[in-house]
Amino acid sequence: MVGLSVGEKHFIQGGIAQDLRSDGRKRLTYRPIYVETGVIPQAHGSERVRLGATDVIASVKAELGKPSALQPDKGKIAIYVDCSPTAAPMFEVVFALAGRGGEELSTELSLALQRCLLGGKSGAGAGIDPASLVVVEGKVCWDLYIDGLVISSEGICSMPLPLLLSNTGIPKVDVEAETKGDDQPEVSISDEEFLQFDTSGIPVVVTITKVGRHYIVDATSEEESQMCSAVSISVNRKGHICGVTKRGGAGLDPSIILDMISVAKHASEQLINKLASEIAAAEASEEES
Amino acid sequence: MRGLQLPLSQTQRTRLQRAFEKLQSLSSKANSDASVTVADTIPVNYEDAFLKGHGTTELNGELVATVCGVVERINKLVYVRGLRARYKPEVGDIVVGRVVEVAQKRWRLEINFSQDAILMLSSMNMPDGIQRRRTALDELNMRSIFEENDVVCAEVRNFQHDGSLQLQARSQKYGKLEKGQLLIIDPYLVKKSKSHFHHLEQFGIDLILGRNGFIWVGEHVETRDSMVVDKPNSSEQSMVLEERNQTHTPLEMRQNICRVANAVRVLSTLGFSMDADLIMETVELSSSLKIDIHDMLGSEFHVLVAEREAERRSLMGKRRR
Repeated sequence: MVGLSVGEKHFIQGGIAQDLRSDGRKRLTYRPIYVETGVIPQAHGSERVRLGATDVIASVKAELGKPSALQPDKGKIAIYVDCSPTAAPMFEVVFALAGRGGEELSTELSLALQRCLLGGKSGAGAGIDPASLVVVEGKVCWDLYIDGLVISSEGICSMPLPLLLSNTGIPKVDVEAETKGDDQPEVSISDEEFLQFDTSGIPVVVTITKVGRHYIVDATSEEESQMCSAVSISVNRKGHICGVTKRGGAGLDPSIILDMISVAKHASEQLINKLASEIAAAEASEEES
Repeated sequence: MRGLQLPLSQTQRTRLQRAFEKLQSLSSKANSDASVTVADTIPVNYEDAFLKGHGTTELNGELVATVCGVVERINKLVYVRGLRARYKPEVGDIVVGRVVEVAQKRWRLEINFSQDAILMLSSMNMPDGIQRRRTALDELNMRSIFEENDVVCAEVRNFQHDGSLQLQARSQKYGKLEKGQLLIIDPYLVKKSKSHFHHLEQFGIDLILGRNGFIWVGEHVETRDSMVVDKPNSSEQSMVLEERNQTHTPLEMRQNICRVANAVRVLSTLGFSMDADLIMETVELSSSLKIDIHDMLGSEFHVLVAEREAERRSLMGKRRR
């Protein structure tokens, strides 16, 4: 990452303090988000999202499988994020040294997403309800594979975690037509009918970066180099907090975290609306083409 | 459409397309036919003796381009100038660079060239302004002049025999740049002009268009004449240094800096050449339409700027005729 001179750092900090960042944004304003849906035709749902220099593709595939013996009435969801070595120079360099820089970040992101979407161990507070994925209890269920690929990234914290989730808002899952029999029900998958996924519970992840005494949202890589610490908070549409992850930097007083959470709730409302309109526009243009 | 990463609505897309078509039809130079992609044949009169330059190769008796770009002809030399290439320096160019390393008696600057440029200690004015031989003490105090990651403005002095670049910063207008932001755009957008230093009076802002594609937008700094030696100034300077750590740029000047910076970003996304007048017009357009500073980076403003530019060029063309 390119370094910054003392004068530039001072300028950035001054800007954040005065609520006018380098590109004219307010502290809690996002950059324009560019969404394209249906980029992977073989997947049931896919999306490519661009925010600044960060570019991410996410896809959802669904397969019929057997539910686990411990939870026969629930489907299975697997979430995985991959940071490609072309995403940022640091991934590549460490990769070449037989370390795996990108992998660490991938696992971190995958875990964070799993926690937000699937809730705790008991399944409480999950964004996606696994019970809705079951077809025949104990025998057949849907397996959802949610994959994300980071093509290019500008700064770790500004990873568009929220954007990966907006994709899972549109998987088109086939409805199966018939079942019969005792042990192995026969299932035929209809190609025509699609079941829209219930996405009202899916949270959005807002990353709040603390610079000096102020909080900003959607930090560019220069602003991130000035950060004290950052917290990623996932909030859903109802304003409930689904997960909190602290990333890097200095330690934080608990009162500051509570403060950040309230800021995140506020910022998430705008973000959810913005994403909804972007997705609607993307779907509309997809239908036209 | 040039891979513009903007969320454009359908109407905006058509408007932008129309503006670009208008601009293309207005470019009357014969060179508009001379843009080539890889493996295109370059139209050359094979009977004349011509020299094959960079970006060309002879294939099956024909001259073929090896890069995507524009064909340039200078006397007998035919070459293809790539568009997204690195900066190609010329002697006397003003460049803005970032210090990468403080080495023995020199600084290494990164200027978007294939190698790092060198700024010798002897090509730099001493802080006290006296012309003297650089001693070992000066060498040890190099960090007090420029440190790593500092942004510096300098001029290209010459090329070394091994192809590396030497810079000089002898005049008062060159030197360290503070209190502002550095923007990086493609080098081909900054054309050589009479002056690259622009002092925007009504905003109180300095705009430096480095030919290597690094553009500096910042608070105006008065250039002192170093020949006049003022003893009281040295104590003033140390005080200013401490004050600087506490005072920030005033809000209004910051707004102007952000507006100018966004204007540069918009113009570079659309691929228009950088020119101080054009930047000023874009800023005036945005303030006259009461567009929020951040909305300048939105799709609507991009389309407006493209349409404005198409209008302006067609008017200029009509005036010439």
